[in-house]
Amino acid sequence: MVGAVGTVALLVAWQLLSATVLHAGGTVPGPVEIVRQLGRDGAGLYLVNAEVTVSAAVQGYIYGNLAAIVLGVVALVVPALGRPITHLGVFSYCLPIVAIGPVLAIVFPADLSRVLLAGLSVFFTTLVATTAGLRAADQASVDLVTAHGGGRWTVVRKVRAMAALPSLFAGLQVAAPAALLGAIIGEYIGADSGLGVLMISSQQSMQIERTWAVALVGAALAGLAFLVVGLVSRLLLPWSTHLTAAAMAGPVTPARGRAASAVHGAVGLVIGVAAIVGVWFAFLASTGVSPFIGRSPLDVLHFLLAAPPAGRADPRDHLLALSLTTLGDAVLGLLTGVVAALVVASAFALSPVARNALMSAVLALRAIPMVAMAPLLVLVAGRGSASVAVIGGLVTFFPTLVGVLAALRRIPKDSADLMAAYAAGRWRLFVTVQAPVALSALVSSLRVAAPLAFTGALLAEWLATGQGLGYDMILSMTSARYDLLWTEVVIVTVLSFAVFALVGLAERAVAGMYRGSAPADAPTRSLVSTLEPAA
Amino acid sequence: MHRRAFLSAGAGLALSAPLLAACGSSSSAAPAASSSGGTTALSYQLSWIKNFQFAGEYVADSKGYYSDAGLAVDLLAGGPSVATDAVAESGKALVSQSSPDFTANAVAAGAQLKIIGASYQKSPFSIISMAKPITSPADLAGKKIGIQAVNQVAWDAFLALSKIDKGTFTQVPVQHDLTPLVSGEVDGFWGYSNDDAVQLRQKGHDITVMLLADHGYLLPTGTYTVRVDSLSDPAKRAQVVAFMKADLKGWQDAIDDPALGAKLAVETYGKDNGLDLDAQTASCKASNDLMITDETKANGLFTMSEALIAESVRTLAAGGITASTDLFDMSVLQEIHAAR
Repeated sequence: MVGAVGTVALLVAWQLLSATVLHAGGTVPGPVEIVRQLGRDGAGLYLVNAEVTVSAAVQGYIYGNLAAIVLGVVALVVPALGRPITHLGVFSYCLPIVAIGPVLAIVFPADLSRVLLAGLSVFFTTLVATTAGLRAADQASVDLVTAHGGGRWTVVRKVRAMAALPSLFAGLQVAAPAALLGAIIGEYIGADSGLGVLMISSQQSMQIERTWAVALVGAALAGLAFLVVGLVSRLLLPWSTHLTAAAMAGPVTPARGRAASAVHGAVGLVIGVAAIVGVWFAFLASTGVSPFIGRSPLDVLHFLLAAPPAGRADPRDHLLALSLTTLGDAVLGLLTGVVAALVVASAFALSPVARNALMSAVLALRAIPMVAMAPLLVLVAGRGSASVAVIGGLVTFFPTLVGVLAALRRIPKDSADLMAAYAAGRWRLFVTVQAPVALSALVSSLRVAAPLAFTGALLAEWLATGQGLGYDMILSMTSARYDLLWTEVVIVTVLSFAVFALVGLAERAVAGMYRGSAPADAPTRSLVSTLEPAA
Repeated sequence: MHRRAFLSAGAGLALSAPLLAACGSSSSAAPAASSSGGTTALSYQLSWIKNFQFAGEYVADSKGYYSDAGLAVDLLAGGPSVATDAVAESGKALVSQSSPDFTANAVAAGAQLKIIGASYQKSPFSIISMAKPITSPADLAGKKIGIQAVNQVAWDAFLALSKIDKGTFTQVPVQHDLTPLVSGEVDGFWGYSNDDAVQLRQKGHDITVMLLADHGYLLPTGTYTVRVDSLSDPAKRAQVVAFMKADLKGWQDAIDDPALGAKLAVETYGKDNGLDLDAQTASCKASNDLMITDETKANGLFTMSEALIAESVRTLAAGGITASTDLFDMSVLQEIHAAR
């Protein structure tokens, strides 16, 4: 009810804005105009295209999630593989589509490319959710099975699988809109029909109402998928919202000396990089992608080490400047997204009314392709830092918000009961229990948001500012400078990893802080370990 | 390549090529051509989604010109993120539609490709303006101009040919969505005279179109790209000739009857794309002006004269692309037109 009222209020506000301050030559239609367009077109046009897109999205969703779950289990059962798998996951998340889309279009049939893009867009988040969930098992149960001679695999089957489900379902929920978005993007490399094709066609024929109608149909489908997965999760796992603090505590990582930890980290990094390089070579060899467009790690190394052509500017100086721009843009987007997510999550925690009213808008923001929103965003935010903050913020906002909200929802029941017993009010509960939990979850969510921050920066540079690696990659692609393009891809990947690793350090520091403070402080400690992805 | 807005894939997404290896290589692209039972299957990579731009192909397909030539032609839809030259280079498609600046760059980067014909003899590239009309290069001064990254090379060439200093106007990145022009964010917008301009007029907007071709930019587009070895290998060459011959026949019909190609685009080949019949018909008519010149009347459709080839190389050089006249090979078209 409140949700409905909130949605209506939003729609009215939108209608008023579109007719006034955002009029802009009629380029921002209100809900009324969009619905009128839907009526004129009839449901058929949207259904026939939605069917194509949803079909690819569902296939990608299934394959991508299966792969992530299997590899998540493997990472736990075979600890040596844990880090390479995580690194591959991050890698899968931060490779830019501008570089990969055309390669896919060449190597695979169009329909398979779309499924792959949808699958890839869910892989990393589900991998993180799976490993976090598997680690959340009750240590006493794990010890019991181990004491009876059970190996790692037995522990996974008997204890961890069940414990992993709440986290896994949260991941599957986030994956639903992502798969749809991936399928839509896949249509940009060539498709006969689909929501993405209809969107391209509408944008280019100045059918603004229809462009927005397509975006909203996509958003509605994504929102529906999100809600359905959430509902299934609640039906299957009625216990997931009231776990006890002890059950959520999870294992405490054995303390390592500083030096041992550094060595461990360095070895892990080498293995991770080796895994990525190995998979890269394997991809080139197995797909037979032409050396004209495909480049190996050796080609990139050669490009980076080669002396600049005589009498011409060193391309490496240019790359350094571009990289710094992109790094700055990523950090700006990440900060904006995280601050916004924290504010919104806190508001939602304090006011279920706000949550019900605004959740639909938040969902819609996640599911609308940035390319559809870009003209509006640029109109409002310009083409400078503000647009970088908005676009990067939008991209990183959603996973951060979902992570923090999920943590807040899973506030251990005994802690909440304790607070209730002391007759603590909502605000008090928020400050003493929810806020620390949210902060810990926030740091963990940053792991997912950090690679995305670069995706956001590249998007902002390409759609709004025309600077940095994001824009240069497209120039490289269109002028067939594939050496430069692949090198730029490597730079983005390395930067993503660097930020990802920094977040990992911060996370450990926060976890240590809470662990060190008081052993009885189970709720906060537990959530840190619950959400800590393998790395 | 018509749309040239390629790579405008949006959305917060990033992907992994390497992970695809796990998905197996068994599903790699079908060969560009294969024969069975007297019919040869081949693919033609289009540069954009299926709309009026491929009217001739729709006619050739629906009237059976391809099948009469013993061909089963798969028209591969393009989109903003497809690199069509690379698709031809990979062998996934026997022929692809591109533009000389892209193909020249690909060749400079080591691809063995040739341009064997040009559908748009005159470039449709335009700067479209609304409130502050831009009718000549000098009018760019002080304006805000929206250019797609993909058109940067062509834009640079135009600026060099017109002797316009980049510092005299503000350039911003745009995509294929015309909103920035209509909203007034930009004063000028890079678009196509036979497409974007037609669409805007269709929606009732009062626009000014400055055709770059009227200001020294003499580079055809909508060119046909094939691999060099598809011309030297006798069997492949026969397929290329058969395809081009049937394709030409389809285009002759489409040019004679613009409504036919538009109808096929709207009702059959792009039926799910929400195309408007009036706009597509108007676009087909506008395309005719770009395809038919005194030279094509003399030498045959798609054929680039030696003078036009020389002019093209000069235009490319202005844009900083070193190409030789070898990039173009009109022998297939000459063979077809001579036999008629």
